[in-house]
Amino acid sequence: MDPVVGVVELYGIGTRYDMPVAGGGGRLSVVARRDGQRELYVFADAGEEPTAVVPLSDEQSRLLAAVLAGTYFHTR
Amino acid sequence: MHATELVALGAAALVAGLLARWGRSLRLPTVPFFMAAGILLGPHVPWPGLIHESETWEMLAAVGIILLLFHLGVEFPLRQVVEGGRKILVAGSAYIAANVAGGLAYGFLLGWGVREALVVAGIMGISSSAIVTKLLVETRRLANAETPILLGVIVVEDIFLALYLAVLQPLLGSAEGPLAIARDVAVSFAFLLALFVLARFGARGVAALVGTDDDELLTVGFFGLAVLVAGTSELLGVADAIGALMIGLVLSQTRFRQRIEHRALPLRDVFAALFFVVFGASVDLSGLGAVALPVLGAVVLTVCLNVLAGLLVARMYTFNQRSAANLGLTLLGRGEFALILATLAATAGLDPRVGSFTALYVLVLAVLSPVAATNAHLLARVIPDRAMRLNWTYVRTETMSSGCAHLDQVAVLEPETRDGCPQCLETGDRWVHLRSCLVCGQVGCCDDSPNRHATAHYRQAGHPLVQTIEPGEDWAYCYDDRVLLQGTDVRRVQP
Repeated sequence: MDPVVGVVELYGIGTRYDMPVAGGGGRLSVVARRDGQRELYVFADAGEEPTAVVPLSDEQSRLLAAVLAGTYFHTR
Repeated sequence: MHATELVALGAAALVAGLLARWGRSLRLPTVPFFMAAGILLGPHVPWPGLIHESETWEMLAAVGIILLLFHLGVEFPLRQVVEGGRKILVAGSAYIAANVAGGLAYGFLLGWGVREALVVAGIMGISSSAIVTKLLVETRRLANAETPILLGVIVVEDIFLALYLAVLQPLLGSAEGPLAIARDVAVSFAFLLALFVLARFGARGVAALVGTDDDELLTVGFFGLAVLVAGTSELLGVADAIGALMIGLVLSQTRFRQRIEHRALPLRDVFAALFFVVFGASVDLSGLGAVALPVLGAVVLTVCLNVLAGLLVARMYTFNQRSAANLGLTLLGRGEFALILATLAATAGLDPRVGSFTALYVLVLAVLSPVAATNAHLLARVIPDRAMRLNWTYVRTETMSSGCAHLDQVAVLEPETRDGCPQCLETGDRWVHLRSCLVCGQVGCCDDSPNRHATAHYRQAGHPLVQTIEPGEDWAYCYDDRVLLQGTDVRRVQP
């Protein structure tokens, strides 16, 4: 695997996936908890404090993933 | 008689829950509030108490301890520790060595007795997994570089706890003379080892005993097994807590792990809360005044030792001041383990001051630890650069520190070439992206390229750090630590 996504084990909590996003040291981290809950950490710059922390349920994560991957189709 | 005990039990749980809820709104941990409920409803207050010492309450508390440690065993990340544990073992050992040695010295200084000192060492040495984990989530620090290390330290503390209990229980027991005690310690370790071997190789057999697809029967089964093993170990002179922890570990190696973890959690929550309440009820308020000064000293010592250990580990991982401060001030919380040890001490008939000491120590640190953790950045400002690393300056913009311990190998920031992958050019192959080795500057192609020359270079030369040289990208990667680094991390330590 190309090392663009870092994978870190968080003992007792779950697994963390780190990904840099363009410019200024900004990055995204996804914490996948063992109970299925995810937390999306958004860092707009290289700073220490996250710009936003978004808790997502298992279902919401799948939905978001589908939207991001372009495989979500809305049917009426 | 039956009815009054039921009323007391219900009231105890309800009051504990309500108090802790109020505490949660202040972002404080639950353990001290459960204890406070026990104190308020216990026999040592001016008004008539509901909870009195009886076998019923003792039994409930014992089940609480068993479930606490059973759950700890079930969720213990054995595989991850076995695979990548050497580094966290070092960090964890540094922490434990500092805190336990300090606690032991302090225990002797108190002059309550040798066995009391040994118990105090454990109480001061082992932080509360539950409090620390919650704190990390609440302070939104899961994405920090030092967080995996902190969680690793907790895991190592759990291992230490098992070994420590195996030694402590025989020492507190009734055995007379060094020979009898040595025999008891040997029995303890043999028991520990047997269950560990069972976890590693015999988990299937145990799974057959309790494992079923029916949730109800699974729960009844593992509960019975946990209590049975815990009781058996107590009969053998090994702490019931160890038995519970180890049988949890055995079950964590089965395919039922996730379901057991899930089903054991609510059981643990209820009975652990009752254990804390019962412990609170045993606290003699009039004894608290006498231990106030010793507790103050212990708290100051704990904070100092933690900060020291934090600095040490931060240096080891080339972290920045911010991470060092977080490492030093996040593991202060004491809770379930301290109270379990104090209960052991009380059962063994040690100096009653140990109980009062533990209660006050846990209460103080429970309030102090969230405050300290949220204000760690203040400490970061006053840690001098030379405490962290030689010829190294702290970037005052406070960038994240990395989780990589190989940054001192960075030698060449400028790639040998930017024209292409030299090896692919030679053979006429194609490549996708380019990486350059930070140790020698050699350029290779990325893992999406057919030849993966960058990774091949790492395998061959053992140089763990590469950086991207794609325009617009600014990151590096450490193969050994499997962490992604910011470009700024790398440039901060430039040669």
